[in-house]
Amino acid sequence: MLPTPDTSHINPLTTYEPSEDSYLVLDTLTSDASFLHSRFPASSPTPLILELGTGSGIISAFISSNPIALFGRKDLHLLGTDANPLACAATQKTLSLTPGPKYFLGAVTADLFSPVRKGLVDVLVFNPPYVPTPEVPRLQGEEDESSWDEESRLLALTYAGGEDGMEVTRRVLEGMGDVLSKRGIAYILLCRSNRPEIVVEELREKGWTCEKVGGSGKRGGIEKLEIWRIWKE
Amino acid sequence: MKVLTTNYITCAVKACKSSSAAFPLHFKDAELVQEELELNSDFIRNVLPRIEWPALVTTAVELGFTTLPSTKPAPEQLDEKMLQDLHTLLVETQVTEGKLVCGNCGHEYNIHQGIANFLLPNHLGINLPTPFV
Repeated sequence: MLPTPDTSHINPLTTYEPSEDSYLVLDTLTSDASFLHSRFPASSPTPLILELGTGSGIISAFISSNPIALFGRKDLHLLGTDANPLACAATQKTLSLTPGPKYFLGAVTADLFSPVRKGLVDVLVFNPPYVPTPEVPRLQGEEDESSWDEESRLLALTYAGGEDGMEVTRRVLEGMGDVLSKRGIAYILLCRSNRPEIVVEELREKGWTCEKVGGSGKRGGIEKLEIWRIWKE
Repeated sequence: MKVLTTNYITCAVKACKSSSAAFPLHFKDAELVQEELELNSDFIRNVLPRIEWPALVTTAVELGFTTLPSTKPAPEQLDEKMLQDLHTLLVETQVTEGKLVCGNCGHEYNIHQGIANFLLPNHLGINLPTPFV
């Protein structure tokens, strides 16, 4: 069992507090280590990991502090983005508190991967806002936004996924072909209401290989959360 | 943020993506801090193949590091001094304040407390979801 990073310093009013979904990502990456080992052999260039929507930073910190267990090599480097600058600050703090190699490049405030250059990302990790909601909040408030409105908006950004809870994830699935490297893979979390079977079918039609590598919350044979590994053979 | 970040990012404005002037973004008024960290020569050796060298040299000069050779060192040229220089620049140096400026559109991205902000003003229009076709 690999240690879980300390995120007790975060403010849960403005930054997503690690929950069942976050821990599922950690467990899934751990159980998928043999795939990562063979995909990124130690003789190959240093893998670049990009986490979208880092929130507390627990996932990036976990990867960053366990390079040998997860990848079988000491050299990894990671970049994180989050639309919420407070979450970026929380991420940087979590990373600085976590023991282990210091190859976290930084958390940048951004809309998903909008500033990331094409074809560089080897591992994309995304625990998205997946809850179906009437709309997705704006990434930035109006100039006269009250602090109360700002807090509610930032919190909504952590979970509000719009139609089918898929509006944000869809933008990632649509754009990831550009940001992933030739050996790149993506780990994407989907919930039941995202209708993962349809999402995966659409991805396969576009030439992606998809494998379910994690799941939790089984009820009547149906899992509440699933993690899919998506890549090109 | 570490200096190497600028080797992996470009302007967030869609129209700049295809412009060579948008990469690398240029530092302005950058404030740096150094953190002494143990040298991992595996990291330097394995990260080197993926670095866009001319862009790194540009970035390094803007930050006052003028010792990088103008062409990427071959693996056998990585002596102790070269490894240490690269370690200092890539691993130990953090940019805490300043701006990153796009050479194409001129947009300035603020860096505050080590966090660069790439959210564009609403009129530059990134908040519209891309349709999933």
